[in-house]
Amino acid sequence: MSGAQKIAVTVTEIVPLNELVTRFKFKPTDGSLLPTFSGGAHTVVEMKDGAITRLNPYSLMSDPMDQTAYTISVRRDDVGRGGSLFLHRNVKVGDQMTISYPVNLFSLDLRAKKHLFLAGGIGITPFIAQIKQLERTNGRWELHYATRSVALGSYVDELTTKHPNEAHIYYDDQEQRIDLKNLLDGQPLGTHVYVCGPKGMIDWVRKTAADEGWPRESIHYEEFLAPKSGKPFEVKLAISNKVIQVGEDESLLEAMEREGVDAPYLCRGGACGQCETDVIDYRGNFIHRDHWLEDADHKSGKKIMPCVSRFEGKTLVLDR
Amino acid sequence: MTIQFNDETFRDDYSFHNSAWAIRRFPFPFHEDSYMYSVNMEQHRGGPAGSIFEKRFDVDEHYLSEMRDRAMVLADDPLRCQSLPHMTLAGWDLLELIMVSKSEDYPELFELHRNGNTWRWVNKPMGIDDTFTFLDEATLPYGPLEYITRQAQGDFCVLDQRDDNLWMDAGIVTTQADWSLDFDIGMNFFEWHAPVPLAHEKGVFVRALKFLLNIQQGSPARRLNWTMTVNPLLDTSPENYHKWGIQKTTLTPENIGQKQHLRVELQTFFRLPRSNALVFPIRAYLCSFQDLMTMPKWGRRLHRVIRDLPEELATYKGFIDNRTMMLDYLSKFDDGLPTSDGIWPEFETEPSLNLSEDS
Amino acid sequence: MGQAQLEATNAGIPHTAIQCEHRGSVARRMQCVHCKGITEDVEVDPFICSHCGLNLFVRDHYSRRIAAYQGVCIDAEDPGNVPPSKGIYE
Repeated sequence: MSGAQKIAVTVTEIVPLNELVTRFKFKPTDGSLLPTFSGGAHTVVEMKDGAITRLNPYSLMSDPMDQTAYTISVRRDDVGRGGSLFLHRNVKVGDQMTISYPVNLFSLDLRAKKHLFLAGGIGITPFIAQIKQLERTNGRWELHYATRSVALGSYVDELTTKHPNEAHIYYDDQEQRIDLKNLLDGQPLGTHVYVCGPKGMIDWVRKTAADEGWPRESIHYEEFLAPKSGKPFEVKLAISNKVIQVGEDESLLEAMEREGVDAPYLCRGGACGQCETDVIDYRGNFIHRDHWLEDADHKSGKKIMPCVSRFEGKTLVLDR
Repeated sequence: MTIQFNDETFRDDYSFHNSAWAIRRFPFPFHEDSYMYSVNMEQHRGGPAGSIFEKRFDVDEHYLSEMRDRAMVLADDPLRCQSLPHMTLAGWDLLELIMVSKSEDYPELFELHRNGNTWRWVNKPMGIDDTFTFLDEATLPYGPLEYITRQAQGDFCVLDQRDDNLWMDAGIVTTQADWSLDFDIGMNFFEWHAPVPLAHEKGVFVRALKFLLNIQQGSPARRLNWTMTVNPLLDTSPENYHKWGIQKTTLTPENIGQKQHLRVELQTFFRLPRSNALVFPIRAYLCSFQDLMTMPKWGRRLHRVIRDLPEELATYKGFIDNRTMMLDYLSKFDDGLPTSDGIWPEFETEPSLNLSEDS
Repeated sequence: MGQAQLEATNAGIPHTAIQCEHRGSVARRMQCVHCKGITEDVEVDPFICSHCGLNLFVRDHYSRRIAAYQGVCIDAEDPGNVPPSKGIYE
């Protein structure tokens, strides 16, 4: 059982928002209703790029109660592995694609007395769905959204027009910064903090909150780690009885899939634990890039997360 | 498919009985001749036609009587159904899941008509025809969780997913094997399992939790659990233990076949979409020893499982005092012949009891 | 401590953020699972429920929400057969 259930969809709208970000709308190809979901959920979009099948997660921006269509916004990454480029360049309205059922690894804590959202760049997307959800239930929320510039500020107008009191915008090119310490200081008891954006921003928020004495459970974050490229390496798969080569621009998980091995996965971003694989033997060094395993596991050489981590050395034998 | 609903009791005179159909489809939980805990999960995606695994929420001949018994338990003790304030959305998710599943799987018994948020739900066996507004509690006679689970067999635990853990924040528990929702509500996965012996050392709960945290929408899972009950009593709650505990001492070699019941729980796990909570239905099936013995394979196997079960397990499952009497009875049905793997009775292929052999 | 912790968690502080240090009596606050009544300062096992009079044994099962341990009838299967009480931690 790999990943979540799939849905056959047709692309019904493609709207470039600015230089970097484009919005895509999907409707079910057979006219049925889409599953509802909870704000913060993402879908994994399948892209067939020649011989390579890419699977990229994107936060759902649409209203969780809207079962007629799903909307995502994709930031073009020119130096990435090509998933976002593929969507920007190769996909047209009317194309049929496959996406997964919604998966939520970044859900609201419904007990919270208030939700404080901190968004950086394209990290705004999950909050748009969460805001729609909270608006229906009169939940208390506040958004602080850091974006590069007015031109690249996706959804700024929409947010500030609809929610002039709750939405606060900070433009990098105008030297505006979120005054995080003071912001956290003024929050009522029972506030939960959610951050989605570049790794640096997430680390900064988590550290500042911890330093200010915020309990770990009140801070929530989501970061989609795109698997980083690296030197090619060889892997022996003990159960499948194969020896495979992991190329520079593909992850270990993608290499296994390319070789026809049905390896389990879910988030494909090093966060959910589903792809955890046992190491039978190795001679070399692991390059662990996941958020799932404990430090002890990383050092033990007994486990690896193939969706984002790599290896260099003579031998790697996996229990797959 | 027409089901003939029984009119029976699960208390007082215990008129509960299983038809031949019910016995044949009973979820005998042992796939081999011994038992130890395991995560033993599989996908809940149908099963053999007519089996208890086929439908998302199985409806059988005991439906109406079980719902009547539930109503009595709730009248006596309303704390058996509770929902912490943040779990109301999950309650609506569950209501939708059960209504959609049952109306699709048993169209001759249940109907669901939806017009935007105006829903009409028809439950023919229970004579219910209610129109209400989805997500508006004021339009239902009870909260959504209580409303729909008063019409669905089995207990339901609704678990909030937070901090890489599951929290028992809502549920209805009237057919439990000896645990208290009122006491456990608000606990996390490890806390509410604290009383279970042996499993913690074997890391069973750590692995089970990881699996459950990753259950996704559209991909439910299931497993079987089991225990023993004297008399077909569904409400074996700690709350009433001071009243029913004594029944365990009423077993005799003459009545054990009829009174001793194997109690099997079909546990399923569904991700709920709008709340991201996990619902954990626990559906109890009961079968008397004498009915089980009509399947030769089950007769042979049950003896061996009970005989070799570690003492801590027999104690925790509450039947250690009666074990000797149980084995005296069950050994008569074990002729030592080998049994096939798997839980199905296979009465066409398993040899009938060879009582002339020494066992 | 349990009751103080409960006030804090109801106000919105996660229980894991509350540091507790135990001083003094190891007597337990017990809830009778049968009548739901609380019996304070229980130091022996078994003990008698101060509300319904049943003989209860002391479980280690603890509820933060009720801020009490669970007490269950000890002689349900053999009424009157109650072992002599010992200290809880003996």
